[in-house]
Amino acid sequence: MDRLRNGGLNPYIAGGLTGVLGVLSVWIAGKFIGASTSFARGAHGILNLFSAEHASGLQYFEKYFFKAGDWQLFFLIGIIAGALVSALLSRSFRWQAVPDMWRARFGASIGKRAVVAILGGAIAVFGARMAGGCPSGHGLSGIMQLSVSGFIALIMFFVGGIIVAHLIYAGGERKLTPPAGSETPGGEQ
Amino acid sequence: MSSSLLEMGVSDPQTGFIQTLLSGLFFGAVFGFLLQRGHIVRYDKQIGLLQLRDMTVLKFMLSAAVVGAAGMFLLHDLMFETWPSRPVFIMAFVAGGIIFGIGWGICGYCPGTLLGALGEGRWDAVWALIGGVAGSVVYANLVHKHIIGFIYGVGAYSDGIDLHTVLGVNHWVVIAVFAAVCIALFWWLERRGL
Repeated sequence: MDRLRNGGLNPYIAGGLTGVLGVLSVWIAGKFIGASTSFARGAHGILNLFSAEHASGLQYFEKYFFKAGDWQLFFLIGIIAGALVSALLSRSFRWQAVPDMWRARFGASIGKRAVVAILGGAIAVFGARMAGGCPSGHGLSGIMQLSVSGFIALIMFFVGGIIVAHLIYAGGERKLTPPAGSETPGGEQ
Repeated sequence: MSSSLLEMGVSDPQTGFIQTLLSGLFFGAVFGFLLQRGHIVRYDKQIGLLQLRDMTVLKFMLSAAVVGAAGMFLLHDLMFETWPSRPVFIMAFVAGGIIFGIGWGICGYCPGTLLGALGEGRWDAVWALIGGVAGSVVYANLVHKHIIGFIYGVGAYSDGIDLHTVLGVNHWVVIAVFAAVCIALFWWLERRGL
């Protein structure tokens, strides 16, 4: 039953441990795991640098204001550090500008990946703030509470993602294969 | 540090900066470690999930959800821990959820995993990070002017709804059924090689 692809940790075990971690963070730190709130707070911080007057006029930032001592901000920095340590220990650290599956489908252009990732990231976090969180903060943490909100949100995240992924990758390679030519999207079926 | 003060956007006045820093870093680091080790942070896994080809991320998420829910309600029953119930805004969740999903499918990262991706060297995640902050700026500018009435007005239950309350059963019934459904799903996924 263990499906260890490329030496990765069994997702059931990794997930189970994450569940334990989530409970501990509530119990010990009084915080639910989450990520997207810090993007909102970061937006306030940055907007404040450009136009403090405009930033303070936005009602949204009354609740989601930038604070230097934000637990979630440190949590996110911790994720980078923990992932780095894990990658180094498992020798899976790889400095990479374009993901493999992306390169196989859309080519190796860093600029192209950048534009799409910026666009995708913007849409994703816009949606996350509207939905009140992202898969970690609203989906996972919400379901841990058995909140109806968590179930609804997570299902809708998947509905949007599944439709779009099929649209974007339609007609392309269904499996990861080495790119024959860098710019040609696969057309095999 | 009092464990009964739970933050939902309000800071805990009893916790000092250093304590918050160390606590956040610690939990984040363990989370990031598990995400990376399980390959959850990887673009190929996220897109593979959305293409319904590689369900690694789903197995991770549901395992965390089941164990987490059991743990939370043990905390509730044994340690009398409580937390604010999450409000339901159906229109906001449906619209926001789908919009998130669109961005997720385009980008291949979600806010948490993109940081893990950065940690393992996949630096295209920085574009997603920049985009994410930009998206927040746009949202902050739009929400109270244009969106809030409709999105948060339709299908709003601001007191919060929990599944077991709605169904009128003990929370352990919900957790047991949820666990059973997930285990059945996992078994089916393994059989199908997904």
